[in-house]
Amino acid sequence: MAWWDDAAEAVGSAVGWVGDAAEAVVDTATEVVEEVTESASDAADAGLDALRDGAASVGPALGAVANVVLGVVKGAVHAVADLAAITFDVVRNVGKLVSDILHLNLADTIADLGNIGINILQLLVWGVRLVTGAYFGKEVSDYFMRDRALTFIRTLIVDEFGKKDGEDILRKLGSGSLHFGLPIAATARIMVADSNTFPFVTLHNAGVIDLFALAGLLSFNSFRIARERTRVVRVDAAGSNVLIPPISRFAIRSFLNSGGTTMRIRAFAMTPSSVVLCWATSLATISAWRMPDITAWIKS
Amino acid sequence: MISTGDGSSVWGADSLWRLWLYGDAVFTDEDVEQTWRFIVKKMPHVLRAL
Repeated sequence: MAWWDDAAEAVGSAVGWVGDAAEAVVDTATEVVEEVTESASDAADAGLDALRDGAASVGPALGAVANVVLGVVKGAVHAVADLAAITFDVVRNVGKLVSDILHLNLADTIADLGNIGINILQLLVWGVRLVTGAYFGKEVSDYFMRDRALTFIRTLIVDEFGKKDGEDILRKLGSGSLHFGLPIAATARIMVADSNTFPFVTLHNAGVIDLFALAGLLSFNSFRIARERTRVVRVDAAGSNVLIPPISRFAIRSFLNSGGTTMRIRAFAMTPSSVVLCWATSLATISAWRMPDITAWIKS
Repeated sequence: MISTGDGSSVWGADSLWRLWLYGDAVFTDEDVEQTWRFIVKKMPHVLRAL
């Protein structure tokens, strides 16, 4: 082990947990506030849509007026909601930047700065769209488009299935309610690799994966700025994930040196892109992540 | 913004107008019509099973 490995482990282990704590606090705080603002925005949307549908049911002329007036109000609501979302994203990215600096994770620090730059561009676009009226025009346009779409779909279904069956299908699709559409049942899953079934040590030593980078820690094995978001955690004797204290370079080094016997770990794919990477690289020879047996990875 | 299957370009004036208006990729009237036409004509069993 090189001297810089020792130094990085000493510094990273000492302050890494501070970075994790700071990032967790920022993430939790922004998620809570974001949940509140999104709920408020959804409630405002539902109320405005109900008002608009009520006006449209009186007559087409009143419906058209409601499309314009309520569309402008809805545009203002969405402008505020978008500004809040961008602001929360900035706060979240700054929190992650602090965490990555404390982890001495240079590649992710550069990526964080890039994300903050993207946030600034988003703010510029937001300002241009607000000043030029795009926010308001979009909602007015959407209301008119919604009317046209619902009329088209109603005609199509009644023509195909007949009046009686067609009306029944339209009712089940949510016609006349705020949530019209084809219901789709879905289950959320996250992809995970477990050291009990996945050869982390072999693949790390062969240079196929970089376990330090996967854990979001400083790595001398690879340098990827646009790294897919993954998370590595320890697993306790009962099979539960250990989130606190977070895994450190020292722990991973011990795990690798012991051939994977000092502890059990899991690596999670945190974003769709990292899951896609898992699938894609299972077929590729140059990879940061491979899956010899896809079935062993999937857990609900 | 979204190609409608008839070869419409994302760089046309209509697409730029939509980019300004929506700030993101969105479905057009034609996308909605094509999608529902496909569901009704090709997958009627899905609607009957609701």
